[in-house]
Amino acid sequence: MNTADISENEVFCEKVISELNKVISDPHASVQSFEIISVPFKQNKSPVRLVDHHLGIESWCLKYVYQHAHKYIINQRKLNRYPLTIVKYLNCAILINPDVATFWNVRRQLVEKVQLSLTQEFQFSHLVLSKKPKSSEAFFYRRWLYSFQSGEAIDWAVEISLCERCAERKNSNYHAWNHRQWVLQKAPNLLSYEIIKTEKFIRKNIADYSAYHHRHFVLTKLFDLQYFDIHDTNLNELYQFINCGQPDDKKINNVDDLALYLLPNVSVPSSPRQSINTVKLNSFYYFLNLIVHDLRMINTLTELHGKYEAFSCYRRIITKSAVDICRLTNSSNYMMTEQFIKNTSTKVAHDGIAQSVIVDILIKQLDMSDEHNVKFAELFL
Amino acid sequence: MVKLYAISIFFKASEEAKVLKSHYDLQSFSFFQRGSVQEFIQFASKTITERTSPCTRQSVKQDVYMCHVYVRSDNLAAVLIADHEYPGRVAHTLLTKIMDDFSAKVSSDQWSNGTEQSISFTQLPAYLTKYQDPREADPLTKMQNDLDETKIILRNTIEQVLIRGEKLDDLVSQSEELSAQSKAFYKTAKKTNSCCNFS
Repeated sequence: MNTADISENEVFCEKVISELNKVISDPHASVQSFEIISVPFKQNKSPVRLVDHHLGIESWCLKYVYQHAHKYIINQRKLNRYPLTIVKYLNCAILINPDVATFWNVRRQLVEKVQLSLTQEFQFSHLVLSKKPKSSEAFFYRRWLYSFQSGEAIDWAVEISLCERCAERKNSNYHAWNHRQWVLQKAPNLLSYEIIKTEKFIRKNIADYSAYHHRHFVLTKLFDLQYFDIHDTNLNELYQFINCGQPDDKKINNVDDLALYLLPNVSVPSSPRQSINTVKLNSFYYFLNLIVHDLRMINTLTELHGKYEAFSCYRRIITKSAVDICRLTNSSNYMMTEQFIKNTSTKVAHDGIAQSVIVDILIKQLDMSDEHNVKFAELFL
Repeated sequence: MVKLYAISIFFKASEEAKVLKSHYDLQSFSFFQRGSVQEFIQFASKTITERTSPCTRQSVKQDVYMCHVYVRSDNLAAVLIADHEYPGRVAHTLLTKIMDDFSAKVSSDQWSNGTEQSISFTQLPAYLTKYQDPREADPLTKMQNDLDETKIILRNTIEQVLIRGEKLDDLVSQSEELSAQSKAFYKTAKKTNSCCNFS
């Protein structure tokens, strides 16, 4: 390559980078997505395309453009200079290759110097995720950006739907689900909505382990927070599960019997009713009802789709959680009110703890002809 | 993903299969890929229909996609392109249902000379939306008990459907329906080992 070629190349790269930048920063273009269009050979027109708010760049020019942008950023960084013009090179380089932490860090410095606005940066990282839904750097960056905003001003539901879209586009998208958990930690009030959302997602993405893991996280988290729905105290799933295969005279159909059945150690006559923490009790019912609901969901999914590894894994893990929680609620003073614990100097006697029948039923519904289940039961149940 | 991408209805004449009606749902593909994807779905549906004999059902796997095809004894054929997680039994139930509805609405004398424009049959978009959830097909499956799953021929690649001596690469490069852009897309998609590239 002679010098004329080199400079021609640079002019071309500068042109593409500027054009890309112009489109991204144009509020009227309101670009929704970015992608690389596979065109292997050089075309005699601009490689940047914008159609219906979708932005694309043709693949043949990437080699030159990326190299050029990369070189510029690294050179400036060496000099420890961050002129505002660096932004267009950053935009281009990150969109083409979102995995370079250095580029993102330069952006962070610019944000700290208030040379880039938060709104702009949220939009930009959103665009990056449209190109690479698994970009961990983009998710990290968004978390960092949120640290500059006050809690009340943030609409976390928007962030949840972003995670949802990213998870839909790439299965087992660890970074998206991880980000979603972070959001839920910030906004626990959204947890209850996750019950319906994740079920819908799972029915659509039956083999996505990450989604099952997330649902398990949501269920146990709700129990930890002692959540229950005041408006939905329907426990039909739970009654159905317990009564399945029982003769009519042994069927359980009211809450008092249910308490006696599920909590044989707690609801003994010696502990008066008012000593039981009703919030904990209700959240326990609510949790167990959800678990049973999920067990049934796994059954219907298996009927429809046949056997999937994800189904049996999820069944195992929710069975374990249910068993653990049944044991927890039956032992020690978990279900008792603070008042009650204070007043009784000795713990309620638990000699000869009656194993709750529900634990047996839960373990029994695991298919023991599957050796994985046998092994699992031996180790954990 | 449990997903349906396309339904098309063909008439299988002695030489080639002619498309009578088709509909696509390609929202899950990135914007600039949709055109090529649609061309490939058309191409694959047609190729497979032409290589399926009457009274036969086939399910052909290609990457994560499944091509379900059923050619009836009267040479009417329907193809469903779905994700491999979409239950095959449901897909074939739908194929039967779609062709029943189609032949009830469009008389058979229109089939041999019909085109997508001339034939009025507008249900495909509704089907494609409704049956994205395979549970919607439950009542159908109960009605069509006669579907014998063991009769569905399963193939692991499109190559296996081709007649001896045919090569997929050749068919793609010779095809008149695929644009140059789509052919380039096919080549790069084949080469790409997704870990070390920019797209």
